[in-house]
Amino acid sequence: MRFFGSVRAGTGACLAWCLVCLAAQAADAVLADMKAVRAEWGLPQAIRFRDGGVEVWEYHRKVTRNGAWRYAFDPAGKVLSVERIRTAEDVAAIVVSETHASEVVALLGSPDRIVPDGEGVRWQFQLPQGGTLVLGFAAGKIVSTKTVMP
Amino acid sequence: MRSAWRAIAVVLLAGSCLSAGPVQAEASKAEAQSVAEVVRRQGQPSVVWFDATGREVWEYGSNPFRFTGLRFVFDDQGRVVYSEETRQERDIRRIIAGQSDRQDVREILGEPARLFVIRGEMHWEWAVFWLARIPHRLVIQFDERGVVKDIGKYRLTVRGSGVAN
Repeated sequence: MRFFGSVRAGTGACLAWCLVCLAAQAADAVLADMKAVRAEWGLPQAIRFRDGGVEVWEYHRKVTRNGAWRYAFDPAGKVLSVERIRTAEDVAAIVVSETHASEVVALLGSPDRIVPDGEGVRWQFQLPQGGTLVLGFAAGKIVSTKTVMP
Repeated sequence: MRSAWRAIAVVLLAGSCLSAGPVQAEASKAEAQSVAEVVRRQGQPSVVWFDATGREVWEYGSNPFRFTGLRFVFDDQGRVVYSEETRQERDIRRIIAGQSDRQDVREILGEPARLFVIRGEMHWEWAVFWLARIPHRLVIQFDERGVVKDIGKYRLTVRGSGVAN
């Protein structure tokens, strides 16, 4: 009787492990290439190219639900890397009177909204962790103000 | 006789349209001087990026109902140094099947308004004016290496009526 109990427990553990493996494989498959990313996420909010023909897609409009992501693809469309953007670390890396607007775009992606402010503008970024980051710029496109609005 | 008049009308229309692009671009360059004025006049850009020389570039045009794109380049003080209307016929003709890749297409036409996969091959789509400013859908098909395989231009019509949309 104890034998059958241990067989049952072993079978259950095997099944659970198989389910975990299948789920992991499914997740890998979703992120495997450009077509899968398109099917999962839709039209990217920004498409850029890096050196070597690396294509970068950014998704940051659905930040409240799924976070903000940046996918890099090789010229054949295979996923090279996936990274989460607009994290708390990214926001912390923006330093008033130091960070340039180009570094902001590299960290957070294209701004969600640009608001006129006198002759200049303020950039707004929706954050996955909640709230909106508002950045103001001084001459030379250096960040002059940084506020997180609830 | 009627066809002759029609031909003259088409030639005149084509001539006026060919001159419209640069004039409009010059006008926006002259009037939208600061970054704030560009937002007030044009609204939110589709994408903001920095080119290889570090200049800030704004693009308008990934809206699927917009037939031309706009590109503004700013200096470090937030003043427009250059603006142009993109997705013109001359731009579309620069894309060559078998030679241009996705990076070239992105650079010339801007971001696609639609992006879809048919039978495993990537397609990018824009709304454009083609042949004397007749509204068309431009669909570019890429092969598995990301090189342009086919360039399709389809006239926008109301289904069954043959009337341009």
